[in-house]
Amino acid sequence: MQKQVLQLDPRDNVLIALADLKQGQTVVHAGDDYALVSSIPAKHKFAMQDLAVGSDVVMYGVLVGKASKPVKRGELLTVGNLHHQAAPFHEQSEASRWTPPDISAWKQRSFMGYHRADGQVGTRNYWLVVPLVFCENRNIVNLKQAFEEELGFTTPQIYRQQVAELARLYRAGGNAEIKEKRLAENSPVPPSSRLFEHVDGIRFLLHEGGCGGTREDSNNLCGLIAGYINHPNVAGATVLSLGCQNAQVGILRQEIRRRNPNFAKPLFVLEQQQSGSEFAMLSDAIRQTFEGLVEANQARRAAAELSHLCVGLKCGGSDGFSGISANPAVGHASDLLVALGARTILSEFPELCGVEQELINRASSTEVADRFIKLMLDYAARAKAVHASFDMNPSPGNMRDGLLTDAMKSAGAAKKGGTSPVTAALDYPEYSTTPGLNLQCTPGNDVECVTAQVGAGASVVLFTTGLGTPTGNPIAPVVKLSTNSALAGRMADIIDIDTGAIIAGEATIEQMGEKVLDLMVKVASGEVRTKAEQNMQQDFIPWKRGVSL
Amino acid sequence: MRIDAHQHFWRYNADEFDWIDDSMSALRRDFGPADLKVEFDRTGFQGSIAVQARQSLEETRWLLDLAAPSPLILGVVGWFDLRSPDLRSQLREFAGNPKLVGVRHVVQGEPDDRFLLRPDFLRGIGALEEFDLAYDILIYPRHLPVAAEFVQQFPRQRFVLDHLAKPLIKSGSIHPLEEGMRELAKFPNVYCKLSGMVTEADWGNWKPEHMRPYLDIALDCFGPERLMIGSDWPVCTVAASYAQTMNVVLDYFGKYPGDVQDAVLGRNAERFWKLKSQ
Repeated sequence: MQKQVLQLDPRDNVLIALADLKQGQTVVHAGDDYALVSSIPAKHKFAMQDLAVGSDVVMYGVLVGKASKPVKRGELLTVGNLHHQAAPFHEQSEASRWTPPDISAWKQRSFMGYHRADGQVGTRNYWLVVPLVFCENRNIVNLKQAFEEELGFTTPQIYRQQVAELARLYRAGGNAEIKEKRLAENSPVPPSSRLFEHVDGIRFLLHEGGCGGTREDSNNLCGLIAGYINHPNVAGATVLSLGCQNAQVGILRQEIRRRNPNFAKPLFVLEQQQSGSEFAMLSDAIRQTFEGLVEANQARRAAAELSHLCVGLKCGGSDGFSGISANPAVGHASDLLVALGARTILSEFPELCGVEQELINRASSTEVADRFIKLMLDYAARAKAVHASFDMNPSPGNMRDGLLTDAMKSAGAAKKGGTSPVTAALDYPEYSTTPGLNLQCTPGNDVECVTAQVGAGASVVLFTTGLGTPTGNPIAPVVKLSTNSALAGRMADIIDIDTGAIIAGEATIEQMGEKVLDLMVKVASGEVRTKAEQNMQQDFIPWKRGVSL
Repeated sequence: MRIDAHQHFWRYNADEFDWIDDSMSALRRDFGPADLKVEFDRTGFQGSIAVQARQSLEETRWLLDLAAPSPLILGVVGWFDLRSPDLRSQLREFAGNPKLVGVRHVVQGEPDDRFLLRPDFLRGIGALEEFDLAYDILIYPRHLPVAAEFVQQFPRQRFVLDHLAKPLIKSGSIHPLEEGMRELAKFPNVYCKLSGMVTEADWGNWKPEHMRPYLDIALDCFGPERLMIGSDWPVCTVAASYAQTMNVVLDYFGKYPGDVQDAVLGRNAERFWKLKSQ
């Protein structure tokens, strides 16, 4: 019979229900009987012993909360009887040792990537068109329409066709038919032929920043955009500037040089207040971008060692299974990648709350440990200054699904980072250059985090989800992993790989981690396009740390 | 591993490089391994065969000195005076250098169309097998029948035809290339480099489809196991960038199975030149 409950760590005093369990039912774990005093929905936890008010609740071997009411053995833990509590942390006291996993099966494996003159290797080949300030957004939209339609980069517009079909019925006086109309899912329109077949696309980014906020935010925006321009998936870029905004062209150029002193990609910067008319600027932008595309179209994929990969690790729309199936599987994939010399990035600092000490002890040097501590404390202090705190991180959806406290969510989220040493601690929006597991300061918000990871150089993102979220990125493929098989079935249009077999006991975490890495290499080589790519899901939200002024 | 089976280095001077005329003024500078590295980093090529440009022992020595510390340069095709009675002592001086893999003579520049068949030259070629060196055949299409007669005499010697015998791509003609290549390819010890094509095309107006008929002939004659991609860099830059030059061949084979691509883009060169895996 399949296991009904799971204890994640021998130190834990709670059990997780793997399926819906009924009140009055008795479950057996490690030879002990537990009579359930309440019904326990799948993914939720119940106490293994009576808990007095103020008792520690331990999961994954770490403190995840304190009982706020008396809890009986076999009783469901809820937001009503459990409060967030995280263990305090201090500087590195003991450096932990790491035994890398066996990588003999992966050593000869390579991926087919786009080699750039600076030695980075991309997984896609894009041209970037980006505004330095929101005032240029309309011009970006105009360029997008012009380029995508004329060069054949648009996909069949099924929703436009649906509206057109309804409009046709309305014109014909068929109001009744409109109610009945079943709209076709498959578009009859053939995909247009691309003029530049070796360019995966032109990515037109839009954002709301660059002026009006704090200087820190406009500087960070320049840094983030510099990271995208320096990214190996980008062949070159066109930047539109107004002229008077906070995010000055000079700052952008400085940020690019900081990331890459030998930057040599084509970069065209146009400034509207210099060009005079909008027509003059856009005409220049169009001609220069076209010439850039001609050059970008010369790029071809060639074999590259897996050490050239930089992989973002992210979870979003998490559920009670995230920390049991998909996150540990991603963690094993990260360990394999690190052992192969690649970079992986674990971010979302509010979701590392409670596991700081473990990460500090895993730091490869005291400098890395101290920087992580400083970034973490600084972030917490900023949150406090606006009357918020990390314990407000779990969303209503998280809590309904059994992720009751931030520490509980964090302990599961940190599993994505595997067990390897932490080799770098990056502030936002720094670029990742150190092989190994990098910690990067970002919020937990899915899109802000993935936007930042890609800005740090992530050329693939592994994204786990238990509730289902469509997240994608304009320039890096985002591979989405479901934590449970029900989700993979229900939202097959957004999930790339299902790790539910771990819950069902049909696969080990290590087997699933290898499967994830295998898929990721195919995605990196362009053999597989992720669901987010197929859906043209291109989320881009720069993190704003400050207030508007 | 992707290998560029044909490229050059030089320290430019007007006397030794008098063939670089005004139309090729971009070539009037030095080209070294650091320049090639930039092109490799952009395209994912990892190793090269550096081929002699000057006809002197000093050239061979200079290329081998460049190659010794360079992980990029997998092998050197040098020059020796093949007609000299001293050939063996010249070869002995270099024997044992692991990066010396072949010999070339600029036969295309010899006024005698039957130069390859001269007795003193044949005697020199006969010495190469003993030193395990391959020979690069640099000729024009009109020389192909002579080349067939030539290779017939050395069934165990490894030969490679440079630049598809420099077909008249600019004119679009495939004759007499096709007939000559078919004859030469009958000898299984002859390989062919898919290199130098852009230089034979209309420099300002070539298109990849102009090369396709010649690639079709080479593939038909030699099959995918005896073809090697090469750039002829930096000479190719008179007509195209390094990436554009390689893309002509990469794209031509893009629709073939991965195994065929691996063969043409590196494995055949490794086998032909007996390159040590790095």
